Amino acid sequence: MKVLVQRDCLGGERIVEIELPRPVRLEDLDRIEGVETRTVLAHLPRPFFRLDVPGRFLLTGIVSDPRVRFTVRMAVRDRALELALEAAERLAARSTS
Amino acid sequence: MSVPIQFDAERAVVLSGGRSLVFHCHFYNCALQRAIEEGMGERAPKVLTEGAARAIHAQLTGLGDAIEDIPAFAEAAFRELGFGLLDLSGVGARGGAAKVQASHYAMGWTAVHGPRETPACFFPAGFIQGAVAVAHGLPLESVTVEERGCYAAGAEDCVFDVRVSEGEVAR
Amino acid sequence: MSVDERAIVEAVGGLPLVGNEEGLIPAFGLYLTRHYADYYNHVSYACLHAAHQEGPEAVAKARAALIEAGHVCAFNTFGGIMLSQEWEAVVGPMLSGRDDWVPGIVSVINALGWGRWRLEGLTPGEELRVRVDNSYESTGYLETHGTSKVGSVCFLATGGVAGIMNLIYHGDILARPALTPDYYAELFAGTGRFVAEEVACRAAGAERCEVVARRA
Repeated sequence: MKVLVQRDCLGGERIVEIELPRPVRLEDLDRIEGVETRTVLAHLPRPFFRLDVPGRFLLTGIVSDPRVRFTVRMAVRDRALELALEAAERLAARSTS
Repeated sequence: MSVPIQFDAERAVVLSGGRSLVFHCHFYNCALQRAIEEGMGERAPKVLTEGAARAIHAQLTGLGDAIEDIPAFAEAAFRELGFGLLDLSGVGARGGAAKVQASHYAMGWTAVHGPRETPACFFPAGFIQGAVAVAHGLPLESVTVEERGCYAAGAEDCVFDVRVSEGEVAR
Repeated sequence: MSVDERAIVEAVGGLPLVGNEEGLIPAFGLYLTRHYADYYNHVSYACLHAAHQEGPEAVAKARAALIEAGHVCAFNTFGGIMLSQEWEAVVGPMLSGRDDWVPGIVSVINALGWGRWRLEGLTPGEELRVRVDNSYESTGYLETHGTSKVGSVCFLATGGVAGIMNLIYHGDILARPALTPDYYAELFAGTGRFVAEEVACRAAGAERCEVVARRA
């Protein structure tokens, strides 16, 4: 798990980019908990996804690409890296099915 | 989304209540505010606030009867359009106090230009002015809004005093 | 693959770009607002008209400041978009070379609600000509003030067109640079930079707005 960037143009360290050990698969997205809005532009040659988890983060990335980006909410900004890494581990976990 | 929006892809315009909405980020918003403040000096706060008040007033007027609860709509619009969290619960027809948390303008200004000595939230102040005027059927100029604490100037949240002119209160 | 503007506008327009429970819209690595064109126009033209009361020096300064805000927008917004995952997924597969980045970003702009931008001519590394049929700036000016007696009024568009050329041909956005203040200064204040001029403006009586960017 490689942390690529932590930056935030609004002045905090709330954007965490992580390179997973393997590319994201569509079914990996199901393991992210608390998703309120899930957008997957599946018709694109490189399907973009955007998962919004209120109170925690916005997760974006591209299916078949190992890089994902977490934009962590202001309210939990002090735990930005921890929350991002925890979710990234879930994302990259082996499927149990 | 509470804010009714129509996207005309052919003309590449987005309308709400007949008024045009456009995407811009805080870099531009703060750069433009800075250009106005530097260019207009003492006249800038009035112009910036007035611009916001007229904009929300025009949108609300355009939406007309489609909105039942104007303060609730204004709070939702403020959030949905990305300006932060607006609380108008302390404001009535005689004025009161409004609060903005996570103000796009205050946080944006601080991030781009650093803290400032004077309040930065002219747009939110005007937005509140316009919303309160429409909500209570008041002339725009009878409502004044002053930011007494601003995140960009060191306060935790942005707090606004809302006053309604004596004549209108008496009516 | 050529750049498919309709597909780009549809994809970007389909993203749920609505404020979250904190009232912020994170997208393209930026924080966006879906703002009131009426606000931008009111404050910009109040500043411009006030300058006209003061004289030519104040006018030049006001116009430069308003265009500068457009440069800041282009650098951060267009630059942020071109570095974003959204760009990589939606626009990236349609790009076969540097020159395709110009219609790519123009297509994204057409999802922002600014009015329709059309690429009228691109001489790579030399000149960009963009036509805007219904810029929100000229539309707003005409509605509030009537035909302009103060010249062209599309300052955001002017700064934006220069910004496209500076990001793609003066700087190198394809190399994924960090969008720092130093890089901004290099792109918009250094030698060899592009500057733009609005050569026709609907608000000033032209049929449509047209902006041309060339090297300074």
